[in-house]
Amino acid sequence: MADIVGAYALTHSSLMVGQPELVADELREACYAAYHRVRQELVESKVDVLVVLGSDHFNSYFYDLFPQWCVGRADSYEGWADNMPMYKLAGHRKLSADVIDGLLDRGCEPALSEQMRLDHSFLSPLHFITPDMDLPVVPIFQNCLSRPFPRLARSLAFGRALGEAIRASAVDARVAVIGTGGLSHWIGGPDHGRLNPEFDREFLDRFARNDVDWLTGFSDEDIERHLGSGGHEVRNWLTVRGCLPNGAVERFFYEPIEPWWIGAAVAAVRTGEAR
Amino acid sequence: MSTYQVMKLLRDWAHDPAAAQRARAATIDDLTDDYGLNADEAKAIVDRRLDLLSELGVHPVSLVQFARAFQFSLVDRWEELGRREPENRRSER
Repeated sequence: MADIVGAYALTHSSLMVGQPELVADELREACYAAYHRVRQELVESKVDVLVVLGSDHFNSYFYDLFPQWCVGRADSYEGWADNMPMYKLAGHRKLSADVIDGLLDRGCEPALSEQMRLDHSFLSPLHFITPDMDLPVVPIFQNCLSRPFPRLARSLAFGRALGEAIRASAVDARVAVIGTGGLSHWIGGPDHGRLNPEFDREFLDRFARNDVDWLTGFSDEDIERHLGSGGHEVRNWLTVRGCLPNGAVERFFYEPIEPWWIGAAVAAVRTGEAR
Repeated sequence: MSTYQVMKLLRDWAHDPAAAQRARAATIDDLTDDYGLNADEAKAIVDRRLDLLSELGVHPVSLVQFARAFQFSLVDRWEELGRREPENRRSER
């Protein structure tokens, strides 16, 4: 049976990959070091497959057909050149199929795709944590982009179902779950590039304490007020939390990095409970 | 034309450099005749009126795609439109 050996929630940013020179050396290297620590842990824990929750930026998904969740079920995936190298990486079809079945068994009905393209929400973190792109992935799109959004409590519940579905799979694999996005960032509008570090730090504290009532207690308007239009991506953090609801959280990094337009955070959710 | 169609054009241009180059050179008449935009939408695009596109309901991420395809700075344009304090004033605080 598949085993979840760890989970990580971390920021994505194409600028983090494509324009490192925008950020001062010391801050940039501290940020990269957190991703490299994830990379090292994946190696040490002998992870075989990554289940990656990402979003999109109107690259792969648009209003012609817009799912709330979509699970990739392909042998391989390609990316977009959105400030990123054009990566191609392997999928894990059997685990994808089991995840889809397992989610259906648990009351979640994702779309599926045999031709899912992954934008920087998937590939910018993978660029750092598996730079050779040598770990097969099960990519899962969660709508963190456009209204109507999944309700926050539903994103958390999706995580619970996802964790159970992975563990119920007959695939013999050591799995790490990666959720990407957030924290605060205002994108596209007059406040483009604005961040809210105070709220980000509060979010990280509540995330670590698994304060579910607080984490799921925000309306879409609340999220946009506190975290900006890009802040809806905290849904992927909630889904990771749902996979390991009792796991201890270790914060690797947080800093507001305006040149990359992001409140940059990296956190690990351990399989063991907090002491 | 609908907001959906405007956003779809911005997305197409962001993904296709040749199409973006043609769009950048287009006049209001070109955009209405060749792309099916109405006059207000076409003028907003030619004039890089982020504020008007936003009022039409264009998604902020589509504005990022617009700026990328039309090769201008979002921050600078919002400042020019008077909707954002100049960067040097923001940094003085």
